[in-house]
Amino acid sequence: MTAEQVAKLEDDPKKSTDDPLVIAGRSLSSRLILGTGGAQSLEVLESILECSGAQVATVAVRRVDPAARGGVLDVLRAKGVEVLPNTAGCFTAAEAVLTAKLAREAFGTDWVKLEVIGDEETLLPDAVELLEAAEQLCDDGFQVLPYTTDDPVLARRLENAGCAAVMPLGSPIGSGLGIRNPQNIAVIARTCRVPVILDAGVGTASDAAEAMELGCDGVMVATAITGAKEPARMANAVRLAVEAGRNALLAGRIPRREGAKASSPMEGRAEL
Amino acid sequence: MTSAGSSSTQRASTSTSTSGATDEGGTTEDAAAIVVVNGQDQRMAPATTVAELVATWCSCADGVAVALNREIVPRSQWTHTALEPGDHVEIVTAAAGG
Repeated sequence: MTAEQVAKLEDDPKKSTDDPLVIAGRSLSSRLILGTGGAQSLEVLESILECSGAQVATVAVRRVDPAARGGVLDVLRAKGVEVLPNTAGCFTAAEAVLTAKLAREAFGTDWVKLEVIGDEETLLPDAVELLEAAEQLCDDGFQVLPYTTDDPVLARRLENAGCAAVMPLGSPIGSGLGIRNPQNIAVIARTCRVPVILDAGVGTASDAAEAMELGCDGVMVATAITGAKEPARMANAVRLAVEAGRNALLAGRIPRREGAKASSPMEGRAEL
Repeated sequence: MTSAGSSSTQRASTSTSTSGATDEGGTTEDAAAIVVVNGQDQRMAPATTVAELVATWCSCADGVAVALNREIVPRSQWTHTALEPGDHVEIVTAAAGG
């Protein structure tokens, strides 16, 4: 790459050579956000963090276990990983707002991965409660990253409410079904001005690559890594997939076509 | 968020009162001393503060937050906020998730 080309790329922050993900003014070199849910032990979590290269990891807010000694927070802090508290398990805007405030008080961060789910069977976001909670939290100065459906209209409403990013689902939480509506994810990625982080549904590395190729700015992965037979190896695979997908997007894929098109010229064939 | 807001704010300013734990509404002293902490009934000495409760409940108060009757108690208010009979306290921290 020539110096001129590099300078041109750096004009566009999304295509700069070091290509950081910027959320709420914070620059992240890794586009993979790690979910800590399902890690078998703190030792496994440590190795996953190292192999994933993630600079941000989610935690849940739960009652203190009086018998517990050391925990997830200690591991994240020791590794220099940013804590992104979530509101998992909340069914109403009121619950989610209070949980976010508890997290801000406990961890000293105004970032929150906002989850307001509709029911325990699907774990799908409750759009009405989600938007209500997002508006309240944005007004209260939070940097809100809402877990949302793959609906481009809702994503836009969340963006307009002041959210720092949107996190549409690929498929239901923990399902590993990948991206079930890639067209919608591509529309969200194309139309939102804030970063779009695919969240939920990633089953293996190729799903993460697909998300990035569709134009997402980042991917969040939990169960696909923590539930793999070798979590650390999968963490590395997903890291590489996110990088590969990002590079493929920036490189620009060829158009799809109906039929074959020879890549070897017919001209100059030998008469045999 | 709820009507509890005004009462807990008031609480902070009157927390040095020593009479609050047992003198309300004709409840017996035994019943009056019960505070619900993370879903468990706990017997408390009168005028126990949030700070004292956290110290007995947690090995380390770092990374911990407290809600009293669904209102946040900022860390700076822990020593000034006395618990009252029937209070619901949630003490939370980070767990693997998400």
